[in-house]
Amino acid sequence: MRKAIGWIVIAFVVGCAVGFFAPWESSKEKVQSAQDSLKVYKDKYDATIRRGESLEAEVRVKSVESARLTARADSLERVVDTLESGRQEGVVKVANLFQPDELVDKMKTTFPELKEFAMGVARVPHPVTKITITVFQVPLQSVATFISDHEDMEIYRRQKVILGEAIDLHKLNLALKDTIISLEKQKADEYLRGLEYGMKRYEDLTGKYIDEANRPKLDVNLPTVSTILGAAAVGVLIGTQVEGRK
Amino acid sequence: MTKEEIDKLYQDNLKQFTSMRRGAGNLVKGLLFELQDDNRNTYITLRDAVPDGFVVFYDMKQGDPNLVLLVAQTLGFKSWDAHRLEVHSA
Repeated sequence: MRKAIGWIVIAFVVGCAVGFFAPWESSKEKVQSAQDSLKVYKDKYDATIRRGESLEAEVRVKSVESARLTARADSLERVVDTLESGRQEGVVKVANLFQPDELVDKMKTTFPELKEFAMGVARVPHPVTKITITVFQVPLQSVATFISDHEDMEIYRRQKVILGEAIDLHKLNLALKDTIISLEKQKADEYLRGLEYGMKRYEDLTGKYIDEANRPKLDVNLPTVSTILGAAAVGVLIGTQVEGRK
Repeated sequence: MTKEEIDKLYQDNLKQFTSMRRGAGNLVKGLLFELQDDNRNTYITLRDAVPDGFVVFYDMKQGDPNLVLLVAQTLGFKSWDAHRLEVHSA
């Protein structure tokens, strides 16, 4: 009987040891799990950052292309301004043609189709006022040229006004899109800061968790009732076996 | 009037009739031509042209005021008086 109690005591000690080391085994699993989770998260984080950097490089390429197109558009607008200046100078030059010969010469260079025609001036009396006025002679059907050119000019003038409005609207739209892009960039920067902060906090917390999990527990883990009963049963069994061999 | 004065007057008038609608401005230019052509030697000073419009005002500089009215009628102006000229617009 005393030997059996002795075995029970031994079994109790063994139970305590198992109770002490079992949490160690459990901590190792938790550490491994935390490290695995951190690695998975870090991999996803790195992939996100790499994707962001890749997009940033693409943005830089597009920005260069955009600047090139803007410069080209500005250059074209300067060409239009130059043409407009030339047009205004042309209007003044023509307005300064006053004598009949000057107008005839200009007419022939402007409409080379008529340069061989005997264009000229004639003096015609008005039937009512009897005032004689100077008129210009061209082949009758050539008048259609002046009519069509005038009609074209009216249409071109309206097109110019409408195109000017369209260009202004495009510029306003571009400015609006620039604002949207700037806001999107600010938003992305905020997300990045949040992501970096979250990553750092996660790494810190995981590190602390792993440190805590790895630290040896100084308190003795008392066996549970089931452990004691199990150990007692094992002790009794061993004791019985030992006694039986004697 | 001297040639310099006539040239100067024409340049001043040019600014007026070129500011009008082109067809109207050139009809006014035609009136200036007829007033001085054929030894008529009549000159007016244009002023207050309606930009891109059909109306211009004038003051006599030299010559016969009635000739201005007759030439305006001959060239088919819409209306005319001692200081105002209007070209048909439509």
